Amino acid sequence: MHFHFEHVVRFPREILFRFFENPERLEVLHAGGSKVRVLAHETQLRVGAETWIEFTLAGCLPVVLGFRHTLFEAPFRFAEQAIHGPFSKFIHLHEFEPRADGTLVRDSLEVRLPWYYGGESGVGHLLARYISNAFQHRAETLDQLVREGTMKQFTEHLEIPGRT
Amino acid sequence: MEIPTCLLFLLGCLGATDNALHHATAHGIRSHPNSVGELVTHSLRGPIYAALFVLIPNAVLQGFFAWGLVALFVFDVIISIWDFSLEQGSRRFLGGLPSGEYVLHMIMAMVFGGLVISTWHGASAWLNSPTRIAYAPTGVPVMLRVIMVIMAVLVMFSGLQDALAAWRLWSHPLRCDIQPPGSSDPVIQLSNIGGKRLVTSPTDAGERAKRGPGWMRVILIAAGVYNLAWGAWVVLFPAALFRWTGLATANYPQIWQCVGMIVGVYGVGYLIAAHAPIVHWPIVLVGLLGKILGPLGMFCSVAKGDFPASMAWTCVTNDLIWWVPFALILYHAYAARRLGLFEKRYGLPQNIGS
Repeated sequence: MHFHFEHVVRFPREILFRFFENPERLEVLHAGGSKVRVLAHETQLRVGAETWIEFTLAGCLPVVLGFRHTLFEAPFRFAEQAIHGPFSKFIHLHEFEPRADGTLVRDSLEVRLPWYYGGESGVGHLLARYISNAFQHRAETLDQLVREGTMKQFTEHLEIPGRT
Repeated sequence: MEIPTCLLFLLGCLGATDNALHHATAHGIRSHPNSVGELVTHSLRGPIYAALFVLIPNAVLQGFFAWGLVALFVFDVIISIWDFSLEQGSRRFLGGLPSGEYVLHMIMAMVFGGLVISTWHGASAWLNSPTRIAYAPTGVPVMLRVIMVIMAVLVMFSGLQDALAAWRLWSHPLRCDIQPPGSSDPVIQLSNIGGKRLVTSPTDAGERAKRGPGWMRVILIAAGVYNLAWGAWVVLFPAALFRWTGLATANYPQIWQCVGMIVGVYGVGYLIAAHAPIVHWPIVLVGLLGKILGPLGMFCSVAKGDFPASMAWTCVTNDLIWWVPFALILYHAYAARRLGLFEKRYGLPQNIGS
């Protein structure tokens, strides 16, 4: 099953990309929503790097997912593919497009569950709503981070080419 | 044997839940190279429980076969201890054992204790009978016995899958050894020590801090083995202590055997705690409370003349000698937690909070 989410963030693309490329930000982006814990990641995001996270399903079952990054083109896009977890396929492409009022963040996901978890029907019935809610929450959190100036605090120490 | 059958069925359901939710869905240990040892223990459990699911509801086992049943239980206890000892390392990279799984294991250990005691109660006479095995279905509904035969097939299949996964993963590099190709950057491992998350590699001070000094592990392993031995002795020979101290034998030895079971289950808890005493301090705290309250009760009973003074000697090895080491472990856990909170508040360099 394919999922697409788009959201305009009122923040420059280069800086927003640097914010997103740090896997530790997942905990910030999902705080207050679905519980996400970053278990392990490499110091520098690159093709072949791995990120391991734990998300809590239904509020009580911590599920571990391991991802390997398959694409990294700063500041345009990056992607990762699940290498560990209950999914038979999980590919996530993050794209960043400049807009006059900020950056369009586009997420494309391809998610499949094995037959014993219900296959396509399992994704539709069990996960679709969970994934949609998670991205909705993430969009709200991003807006809040920008509005409150927290995003600026997170990124002001980063060295961004062209930033004065 | 109706009660053992029902307890075994409950144990099977709990085990299947544990397998489906935690082993397969949450942690996917069949594709995790660090879990090879754990997979081996699970695979050994397959044939044991397949035999139990078939035999306990359907057969009378006497003489040599009854001893075979005892051997199955002993073998399962050994496998469980081995499994518990491996789990911490097996799941460290995956964020540690989920709390739900931890609780489920404790419940399963208690149900297993009940299964052993009820089986012993119903089948102890079989040990001294002539060797024979006979089809003798228990009084449970036929459907339950049929379901348990299906469970036997499934647990055997699950064990086989675990064995194949262990074989497949045997030569894979461990997750903590992953190094990015062409880079010397290590994988960052986030640990949780006393509520504080640290950036640390799996082999550095963070993991050592979680484990605590070596003497703590020795103390808790000793306490665990002692409890298991004492508990097994009480379960197997419930009249012995009363005979030695000159007390009348208990009217209901099953209650005394139940005490032995609880003591033994505490032993399992101590062995689990031995792998990370600082993390598992609640088990030590509950143990210490029991070791303080137990002698208080004994003192009152001896003072009132209900128990002979000789009975109080049991408190020395059961309780008193553990006070100081258990208290020291709790003090270390408290100090580690304080240190974690201090570092979190004042942002020492390894703190990732930003």
